[in-house]
Amino acid sequence: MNILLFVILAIKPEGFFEYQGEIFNLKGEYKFVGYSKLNLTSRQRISSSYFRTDLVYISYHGKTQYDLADFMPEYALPSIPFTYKSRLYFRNAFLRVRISPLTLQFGRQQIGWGTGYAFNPTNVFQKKSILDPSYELDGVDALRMFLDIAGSFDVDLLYIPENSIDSSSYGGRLRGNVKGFLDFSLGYLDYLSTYMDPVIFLPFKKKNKIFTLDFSTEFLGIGVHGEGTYNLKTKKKIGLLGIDYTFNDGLTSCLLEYLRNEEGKDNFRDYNPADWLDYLSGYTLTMGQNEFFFNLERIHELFTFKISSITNINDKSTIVMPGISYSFNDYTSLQITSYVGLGRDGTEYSNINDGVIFRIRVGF
Amino acid sequence: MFTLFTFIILALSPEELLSKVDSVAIFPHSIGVMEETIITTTGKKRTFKIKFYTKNGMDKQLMVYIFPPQVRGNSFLIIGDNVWAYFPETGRIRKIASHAKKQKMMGSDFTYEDMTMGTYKKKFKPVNLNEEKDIYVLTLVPKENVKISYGKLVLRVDKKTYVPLVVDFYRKGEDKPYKTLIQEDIKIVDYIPTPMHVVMRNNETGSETEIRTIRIDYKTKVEDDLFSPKRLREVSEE
Repeated sequence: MNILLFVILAIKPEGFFEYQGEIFNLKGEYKFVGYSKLNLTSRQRISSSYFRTDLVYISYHGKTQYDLADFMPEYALPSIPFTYKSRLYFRNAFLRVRISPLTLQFGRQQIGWGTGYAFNPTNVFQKKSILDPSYELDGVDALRMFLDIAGSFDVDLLYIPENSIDSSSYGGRLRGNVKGFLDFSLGYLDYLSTYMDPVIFLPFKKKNKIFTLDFSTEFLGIGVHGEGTYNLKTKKKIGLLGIDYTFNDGLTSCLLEYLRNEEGKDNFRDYNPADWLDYLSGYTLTMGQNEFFFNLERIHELFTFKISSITNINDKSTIVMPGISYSFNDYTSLQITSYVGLGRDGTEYSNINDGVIFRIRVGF
Repeated sequence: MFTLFTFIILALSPEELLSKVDSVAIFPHSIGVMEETIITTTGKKRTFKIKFYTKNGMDKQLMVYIFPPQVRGNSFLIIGDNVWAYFPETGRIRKIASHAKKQKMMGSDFTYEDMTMGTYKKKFKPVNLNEEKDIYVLTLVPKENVKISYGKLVLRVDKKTYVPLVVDFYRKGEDKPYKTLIQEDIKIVDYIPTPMHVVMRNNETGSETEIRTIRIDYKTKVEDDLFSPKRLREVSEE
């Protein structure tokens, strides 16, 4: 790893340093957890080849040890500990080779499927944070091939190796644009997904086969986007439909998204410990069947004010997240987001309680 | 001879002048780097460096932010009236809807709508032409059925180069210019008159955005497949 670090430093690294602190309410007591994060980016283009690495070192402090049961309603469960561990890892590390009309991309990379902002049901490999859906995601180890076909269409094939060929994930999508008006993709994925065993509370993996669809267009000038999946094994569908609108001042905009998740439950009394563990571990998208995301944002010069919320329509719980960001100078920005979970005990967002996150990032 | 030349100039119709103004801006392709400085109402400055590629005048544009580090790799692709944005944090490509084109582009005083205006003739028609010492004053209004925020543009066009040195943007129903574009330091690069310094001033708030062209090259051929949403991620990262 030291040699690798030396190589990366030799290629004029760029990147950012970030400090984040979070004060949050855990069972009536306020706690603090923070991290320092260094992201070193190296990239180089050599003829038709290009590589990029994002080497991240993250160091946590404060309350770093938790019990997953603390974030769930009270069940007679054994302790399920987890710890925020300081670590060094590659967020991205890939090589791209272009041999027109083919582009090959090998290594840890962003998948980038889907058009949704808060949720991306078609990107089954990366999960967004509900508190900050636009935050950068950790890449996925994949072999990828893009093939340009006629006009504005291409094919995106991906293979994610596992222990055996049978357990590996693979799939692809046809992506295109119709007359500049409609962006869409249609795809198929045979992928390995993780679930929590409802009896022994340990993760297990199983294969899923899904059809995927996403699109982005406009209707009467309003942005419309959507994406969805159909699971060939469970016959369950997940769909998202969103709209975005900018007010006449050009500074205020809003985004609404509705998610229909047939893998969720319509009555919170049916949530069981395995559902909670799947959800808290990021294995499932939402607890509820019907969820609604709202974001209102206003830019005032170097400040951005925003308020967003996610509501589980079935169990009537909501998380409300007002926030502000400020650009100190060309290199430094500050973001403060508070959140409060509302709803009856045992519902999806009521257990989140309340907290404040502040994040300072310096780019270089 | 002078009398004849003056007669020819005076004989220019508003339509002919508009064609000449547009013809200056229609170059086959360009590659370059510009520095954009946003000056807020309180005088604070934020600077961006943008690598740009254009084709068929400004009909196809690709802008990749290379500075500051916070926005490095953010990019915008414009083809005609369509705009796509790419954000490297999530690897997501987003098409920007018509309503969102009123938004300031990365906080500057240029909106997405300003960037997709293309040639003046595409969306505007001339209604009045006056002449001052070294300039023509040309008034444009939107063509019927064109959806645009502006109700009128007044161009002050340099008689020698046909470059609009000042453009006042009026909102519908208003008689004071909402924004003013100033183009100066006109240099002839590869036989094309090029404003090396451009300022867009918001007369309502007092903020302004200054663009300095650091490098521009009209000779190097720009591949057509660069201007495609499917290649946006690749081009932006590299």
